[in-house]
Amino acid sequence: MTAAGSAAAALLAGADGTALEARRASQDVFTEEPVPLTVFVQGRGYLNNPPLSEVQYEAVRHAERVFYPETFELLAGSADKEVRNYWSTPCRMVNFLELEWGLPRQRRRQGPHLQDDRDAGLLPAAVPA
Amino acid sequence: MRVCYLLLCLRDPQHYYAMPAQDSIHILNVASSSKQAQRAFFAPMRRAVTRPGCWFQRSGAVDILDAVERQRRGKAASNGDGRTTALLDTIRFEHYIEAVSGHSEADSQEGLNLVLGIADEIDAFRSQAELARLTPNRQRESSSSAEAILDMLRTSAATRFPSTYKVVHISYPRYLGSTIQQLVARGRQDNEEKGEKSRYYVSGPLASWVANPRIPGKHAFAEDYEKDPALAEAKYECRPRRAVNPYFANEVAIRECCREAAQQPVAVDYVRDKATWVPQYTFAPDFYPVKGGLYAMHADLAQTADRAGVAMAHIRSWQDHVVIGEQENQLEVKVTERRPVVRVDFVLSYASDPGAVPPMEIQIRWARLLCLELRRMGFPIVRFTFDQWQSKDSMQILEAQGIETDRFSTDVSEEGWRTLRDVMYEGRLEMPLRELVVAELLGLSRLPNGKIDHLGDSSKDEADALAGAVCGALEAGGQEDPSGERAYLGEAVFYGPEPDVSLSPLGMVPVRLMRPDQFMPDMRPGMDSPLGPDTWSDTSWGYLQ
Repeated sequence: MTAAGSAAAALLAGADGTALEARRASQDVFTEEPVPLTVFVQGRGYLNNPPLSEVQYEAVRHAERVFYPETFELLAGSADKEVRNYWSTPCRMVNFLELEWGLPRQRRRQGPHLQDDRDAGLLPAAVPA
Repeated sequence: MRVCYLLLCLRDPQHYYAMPAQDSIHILNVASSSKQAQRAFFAPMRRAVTRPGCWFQRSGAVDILDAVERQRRGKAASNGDGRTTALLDTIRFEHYIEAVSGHSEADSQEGLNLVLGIADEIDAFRSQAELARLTPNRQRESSSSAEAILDMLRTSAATRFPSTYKVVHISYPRYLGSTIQQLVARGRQDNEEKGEKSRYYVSGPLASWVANPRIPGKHAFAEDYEKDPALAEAKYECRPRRAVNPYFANEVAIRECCREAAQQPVAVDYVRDKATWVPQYTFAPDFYPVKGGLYAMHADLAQTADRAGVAMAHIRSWQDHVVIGEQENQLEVKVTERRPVVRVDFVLSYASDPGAVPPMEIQIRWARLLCLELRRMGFPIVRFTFDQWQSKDSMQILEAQGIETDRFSTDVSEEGWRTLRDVMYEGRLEMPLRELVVAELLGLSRLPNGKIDHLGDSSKDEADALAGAVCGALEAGGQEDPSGERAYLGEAVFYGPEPDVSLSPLGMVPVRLMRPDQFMPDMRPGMDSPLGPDTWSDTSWGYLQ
């Protein structure tokens, strides 16, 4: 880690961790502090989508951790209570997300390994075992 | 979109990640087809970022580069800063942040600076083995296999953003043991081993209505469940069956044919022999040849040469089945049919190990050597069949030993599978229980092109070997002596295949079919009098003359 990330982390660690300095460091890193996931998904100014399920929410929370851990500590010291609360909630840093979920909606493709919709009609119906 | 947003919140993303200022940061979604990529990723994302008043519209320029736009801008635009993404639908944000919509048909998606890679419906991608089977001459496609896509996502991300990258695999499972199920199992194992330090997040298997709050429940897919319950269970509940349109659908009948064995009749291990590896066998104590049995073997070397199945079978006995037939005058008559009961002596498979030192490769001669070793143990093996691959040399050597050889492949004709299924479903097969063989049989599907094959990464080497051995045993004929006594080396039928009876003198049983302790049988085909049995006389000789 280099640049703004490490500078901010050093600042945070080396200056008694005062909130003011943390906020200054955060301003060095961000043009604006990222809003919580719920706000981003449902907010009219963002995606304006229906809420995520608990399962989806947890998966996205793990997938969005693309900053260095020190940066999340900066966000946890945000002046904005909502931002502070959201980013201070612990979340394990992962690299791989394996999601075995049922299809979210009906698709025209009917089976495995059919690369094209035209093939869908060729696949016979599965026979119950 | 969330990750694009987070990156765009950074004052200088390239500086933050210590990247050259002119480099792009990519988010890549790979779908199984271009249509799927357009429908499931690019179109919804495009609508979201172009919605008036949304954050992306307020925060800076958003450049949509789809097929139409690329054509309009011509080569000049395509040769811009995004060489790799020039042919892919892309949404470009400020700070050189790009969301790329990839798919398996794209020539190359290498070279991206991936902070997030998503393999959408990974189970819809063909595996390397499938591509090799279906399109053996199109090597180019190996870069679009499921394995290649997974590898590309991992390496492109891990080399650019070593600690923060994210790779997401999402799919419903198409069949038992599919790619997503393997990935989930690997993730769970890592979770168990490393606990909080694990770099895997695992979720599922979860039904659609559990993962997605907008689906009210199973009843939302009632039509699909009515039409094809097996497929619907896989799609919406992540409960796949072993096969789509299974060829062996009756698991009960298959398991009825299996008998529990404390020890597999033949187990194989490998030992170093100078610069190579040789198999070493362990034989169960109750594995011995039975008098009268004529044994047939089949070896099937997989095209990818990573595994090879070998099996041996013989006819144990003949069952008399009485069936009712109808004469011309509508009277029913009883007709006796003799049907063979086949005993499978063993099924095993050799597995290669490229990671061993030296690398362990399967050699078809191993099956030949096993055959000769079994003959030394007293098994009168009279027939050995191979599939189509690399068997010429071994066939000639076995022929020289008096063993009839032939080629037999379940890939060429359905006959082997049909025979095996008939014998199994009629309860005329006995075999030692081996879960791999059972799983392989249950995993066989009839594909849209009519072929019987396995799906994805699953295998059918042992099932192939089983079908070949059973067909070979039926060809070889014979049956076990009712005494069940052990046969020993040197007995009558040992030195070669069953002689052709038609070449023997009239009324003479070929000598090699007789054991030393046997006399000429009373009933000798071709020696019957036309006037009936026991009527040989000078008169009848005169009649014949």
